[in-house]
Amino acid sequence: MSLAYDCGDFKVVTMKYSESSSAEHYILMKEHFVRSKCQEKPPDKTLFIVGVPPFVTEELFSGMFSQFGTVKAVFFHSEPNPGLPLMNVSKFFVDYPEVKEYKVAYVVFENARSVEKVLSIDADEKLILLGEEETSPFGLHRWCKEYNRKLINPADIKDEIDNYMEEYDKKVEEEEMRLKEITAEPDEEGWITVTKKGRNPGFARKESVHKNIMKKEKLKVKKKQLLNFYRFQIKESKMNQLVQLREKFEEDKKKIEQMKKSRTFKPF
Amino acid sequence: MKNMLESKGSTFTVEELEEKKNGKKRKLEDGVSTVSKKIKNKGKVVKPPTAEEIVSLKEADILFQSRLFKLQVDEMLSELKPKKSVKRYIPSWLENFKKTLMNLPDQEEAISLDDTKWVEDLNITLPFKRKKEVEKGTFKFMKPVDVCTIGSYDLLCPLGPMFSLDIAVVMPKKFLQKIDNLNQRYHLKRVLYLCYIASKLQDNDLISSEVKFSFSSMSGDITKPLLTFRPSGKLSTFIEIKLFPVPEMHSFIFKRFIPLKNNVRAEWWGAEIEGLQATQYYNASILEDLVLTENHNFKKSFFEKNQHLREAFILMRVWLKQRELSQGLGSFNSHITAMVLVYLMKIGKINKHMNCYQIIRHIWMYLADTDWTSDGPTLCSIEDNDMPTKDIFHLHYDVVFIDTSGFFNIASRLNKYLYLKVKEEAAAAMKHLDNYEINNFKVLFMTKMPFLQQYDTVICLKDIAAIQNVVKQKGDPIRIMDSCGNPVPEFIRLVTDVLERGMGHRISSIGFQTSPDNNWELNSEPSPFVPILIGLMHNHETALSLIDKGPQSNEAGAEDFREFWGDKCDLRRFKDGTVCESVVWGDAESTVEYRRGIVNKIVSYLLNTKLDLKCPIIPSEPFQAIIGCKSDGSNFEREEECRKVHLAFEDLARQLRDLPDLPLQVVSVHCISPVYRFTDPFPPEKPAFHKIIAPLVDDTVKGRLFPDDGNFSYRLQYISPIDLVLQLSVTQKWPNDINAGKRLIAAFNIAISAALKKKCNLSFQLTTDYIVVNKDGYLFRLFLGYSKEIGLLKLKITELGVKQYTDTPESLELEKKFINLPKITGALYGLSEKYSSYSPATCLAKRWFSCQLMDDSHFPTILIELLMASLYLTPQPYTVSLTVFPMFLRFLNLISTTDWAVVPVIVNLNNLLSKEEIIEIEEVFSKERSNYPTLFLATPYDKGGSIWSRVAPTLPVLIRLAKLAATSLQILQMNILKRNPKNIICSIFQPPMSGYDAIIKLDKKLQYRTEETFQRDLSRIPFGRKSDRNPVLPILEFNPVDLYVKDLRNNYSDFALFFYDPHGGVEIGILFKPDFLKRIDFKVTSVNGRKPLLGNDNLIILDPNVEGILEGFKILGEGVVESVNLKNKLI
Repeated sequence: MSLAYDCGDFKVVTMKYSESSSAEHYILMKEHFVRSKCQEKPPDKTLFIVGVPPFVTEELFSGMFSQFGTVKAVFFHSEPNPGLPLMNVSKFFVDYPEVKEYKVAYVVFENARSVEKVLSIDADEKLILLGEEETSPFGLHRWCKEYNRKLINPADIKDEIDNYMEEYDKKVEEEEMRLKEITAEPDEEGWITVTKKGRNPGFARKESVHKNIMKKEKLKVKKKQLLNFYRFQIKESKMNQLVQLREKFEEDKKKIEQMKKSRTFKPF
Repeated sequence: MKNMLESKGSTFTVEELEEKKNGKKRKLEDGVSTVSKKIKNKGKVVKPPTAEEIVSLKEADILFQSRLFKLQVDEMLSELKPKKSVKRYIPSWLENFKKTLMNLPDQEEAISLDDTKWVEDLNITLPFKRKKEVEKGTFKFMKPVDVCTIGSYDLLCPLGPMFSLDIAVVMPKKFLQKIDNLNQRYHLKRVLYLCYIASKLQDNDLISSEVKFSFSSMSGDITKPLLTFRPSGKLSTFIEIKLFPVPEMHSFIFKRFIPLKNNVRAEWWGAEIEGLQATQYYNASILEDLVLTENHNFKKSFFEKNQHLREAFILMRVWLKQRELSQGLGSFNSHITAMVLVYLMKIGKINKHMNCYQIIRHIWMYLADTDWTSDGPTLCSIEDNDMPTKDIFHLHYDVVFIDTSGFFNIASRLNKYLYLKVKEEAAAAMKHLDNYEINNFKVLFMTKMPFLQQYDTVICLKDIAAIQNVVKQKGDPIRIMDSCGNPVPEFIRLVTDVLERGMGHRISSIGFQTSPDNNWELNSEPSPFVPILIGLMHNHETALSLIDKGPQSNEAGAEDFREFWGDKCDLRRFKDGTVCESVVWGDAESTVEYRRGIVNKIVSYLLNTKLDLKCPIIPSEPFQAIIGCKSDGSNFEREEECRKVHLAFEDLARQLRDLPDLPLQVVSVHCISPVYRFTDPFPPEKPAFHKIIAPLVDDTVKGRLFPDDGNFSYRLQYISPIDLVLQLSVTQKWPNDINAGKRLIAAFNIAISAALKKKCNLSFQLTTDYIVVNKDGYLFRLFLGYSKEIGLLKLKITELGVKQYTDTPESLELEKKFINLPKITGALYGLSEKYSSYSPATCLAKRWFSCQLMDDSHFPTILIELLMASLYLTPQPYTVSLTVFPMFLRFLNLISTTDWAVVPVIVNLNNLLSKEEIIEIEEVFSKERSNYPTLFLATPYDKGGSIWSRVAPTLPVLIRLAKLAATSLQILQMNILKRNPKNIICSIFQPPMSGYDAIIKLDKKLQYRTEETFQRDLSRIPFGRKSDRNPVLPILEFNPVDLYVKDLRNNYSDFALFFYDPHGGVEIGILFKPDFLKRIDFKVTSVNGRKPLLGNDNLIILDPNVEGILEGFKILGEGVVESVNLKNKLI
């Protein structure tokens, strides 16, 4: 069977890791097009690629595609996403983990023409990921760097933390102010939003609290009933006991059946 | 109509039942009535209970241990019944067989007993050599007087679908001469009688021609063999026939065989023995045959009428057989068992209204409470002046149980130690019955208890020549004569005596086992009962003590003690001021590892000096050695290392709690590393100083770093960190945001590390997540946590704005690390302090797992520790052993036989779970099995039983492990008794590399942990042993291979599974997921790792791009991977 060059609206492109490698990887690409627009991913200048192997980095991709025109940015997502990936702002803290495994990529070019160029390459042409002069960014090399990165100098990081916390405190304060305002003022139709702030705070809106309240209600109802007052009630309770006995018996039987299935009762 | 009835299940009413009978009638009015019934049945219709139903429902609850127990007993009994078809054939076969024997013609001329040439002509080897005849005796075959079935078949309770059928052949009185009781003449005639019958039966149609005739011994007595063969036809696979020749009643006078009589003359035997010594065992062996049928008929009269008695008999035998107590030399055989039942029936302890559960309970109670060694029971109810008194019996036999005739001791062959073991087990059984924490049915009847797993120390003796030599040199000539020259009973007596004397208070009991194989072919020598296994049960308090304290020097017994120990013995002054004879086995600085070997040392010493037995095989010995051994052959003292870490930790924890001027005080410090629990096979080492420290960069603030260009291919010492979790005093001020919390933690890290440096002058390294502190050369990693964090990770806000808390992978990680693990660590630490073998046994198990390439991500190591702990907390049917070997075997057995789908593992650490809680956990488990992971393991800290096993192990991993464990166990048990077990041990710790789809070979230089492997061929660069005085902290927890596998798993876990040995493995086994290897239809979401192909009708299909994936593996491991080999053709 031969390689399929077009899969739906995708174009299949063969990629090799380096000139000398014999294995081939297949990536599917098309022009990026979605309804919700994002400034950093202009539809006509962006190439959407699926099936990107784990060993592809931003640098490697922009290097590989630079033969078609200047690459402005490369974004990776684990699933197609019209927005921007969450970026780590800090040099020290990893708030958002790196995208691992197979992924999708958005390659943004300077010119719309580059996208066309990429999509019109020959079916037999193979793209080479790692240029001849480049060295592999993986393996020991990477682990050593990673190790170095993790260790920090307290002096470097102190200011960053202080700034972040200051900003955070401000945000929290603002949020609190907002809630207070809502609580104090009725809206256009005269409703007042109940929050945890203010003079009459509402109960916490947690699932567990809800459940507790419902349980209490049920108990209240139960308390009001007499259970062994009428004859039919006594009779019923006896009957229930019998049913329970039988049910338990059946249950045990089932258990035995299950045990029989897994290991017969052969002691030797 | 039938369907309708079925759909309603079992609750149809009585009315309906009647109608069902008259089904035909109903057909006419079917249409109307079914409709009305249907409506009625919508409500609950409860069938009125019959009296029987109520009784049967309640009986199980009241009279049995539990309903489930009864059902299980019923189920097992039905499994053990012989097949109906087999049962049908037996009577007619027996009839024919009896006819054949009864029609044998009498021999015409008598042959002298000296002339056994005719036997040799038949190609039969006599099982025992008899000394030359003094008085003339003759053999003349006469046809049997009677042929009848005896044994369990005749009692209507054979054991198992395959069983042996015992047939007694009654030899006529005339056949025996008056003085045949003397000098083994009876025994010889008996064997000759069998040989003659064997020769006549050889080509009979009734007997299977495929299986040869053989002799077998009853309870290890070779002088009285039984003729064993299989019937022809369908029966041959199911039953085995055993022929018991017995003399006609009153062939001899019973009085001749009372215990104090002599029936073997010393002159004839050829030993220098003065006077006529009592030959009680010889006497009993003839008496046994004389009273066999009488006793059997007596038993039968009880068994015939009572179904429950028969059931209890079967249960009893199953129980004994699982404990390996009912077979071999000196065993508690089924004849004794049946007699006990009859005895209890006779004295009224059990009656005919009892069910089998009640009966067996009474038997156990009886066995546990009585002592047959000092006051044995008797079945005889007649008074006779000739009868020996009970005292005479006790004088001549260790164990006494007198039969119906009053002359024969049923327990004459029963060994004292075996009897005591049965007693012990019976007492234990009573306890098991009332224990709610265990599955008592399984414990009592379904678990096989191999000898090697029962005893703490097992000694294996198999050289028959040496055994004979010992008996010749040291044995008692009277006893040898009495046992007709069979050396084994006397040998066992000698060894057990020496061991009991020499081990003294160190052991609590002794057991032994002879080879269970006791069949031999007619033309070969009888099996010599080797190997003989001697088991020692240690006394937990004293087994490891360094000194054996004897009597005071001026006391009686001091002389004996001195004589026994010879120059090993010393006079020593003890703390209490006494001066005692004593034997010293180690000095005050002896390590735990050394102390564990003391018992073996004493055993070797005793056997060597007292019995001249050189190098006995002690299978557990090499296991103790390998735990503290590295691949380069060097030894380390693991537990001592752990203790040192403990000391450093205690000190650091105190320093941390005392830190001043912190915004929040450190309230508690817990260690969560296995080294704290003593379960780290390789406790963290201090960094060693060595010269080729390579182009590392020393940064005074950050610590030691790799060079920036990343060119680094040197071997480093692998240093594992010790993880601590810190709790700060409680405050409400932690932020409600994960990322803000992270910054705050980092800020705290900075503050704490600075304070540590200032106050305690400890060097440290810092990351955003943790602090690394160097304390006494050990590297501790400090993690800070705040309780809000877990809640924040769990939090989800629904569309309605309601807060919902659900577990996420991240929150679970934290919960494990900060809440669960510290508690478990504490509990397991306690366990390892209480049971000194917990720590080494767990390490051995861990290494076994890693050698099977099952690392933490396939089978979390904490689960190994907890499973091992479960063997200590609920060791039933065994007791906890303080040696490594039996615990390891039990562990392998647990892994190989447990059906995780139906068995919940409940590890009741510190006994924190109450009975109700345990029952509740079990109930919830069985009701909602599918909601829980494949391996359910609950602890008091995690009643849901899933926190540790949620992700791994998976079912395929468990299945593979079960197979591997079963194989390992088999290899061990088959070969461990051979002389050089070291190679075998290595073979079970050798990773099996077959069966993987692909294998990645790694650069050995970049595996920093090679010294932890079992493979010897990996050379290692030795590091100097000086500790590193450089204030800059070394590279911590850095092993390229580990990092590589982590990368692989992070990136390719959808496609393949990766197997490697974290302790120094240099190969990675790869298994592709079956889903990946399938060819599938095109879908944009599934193009990952696949190749789109143009198929038929222009349909696009996706083929797995195996080559591409493998290249990916190689790329990620740049510099580490040597080669990636695809093993077998995949598609």
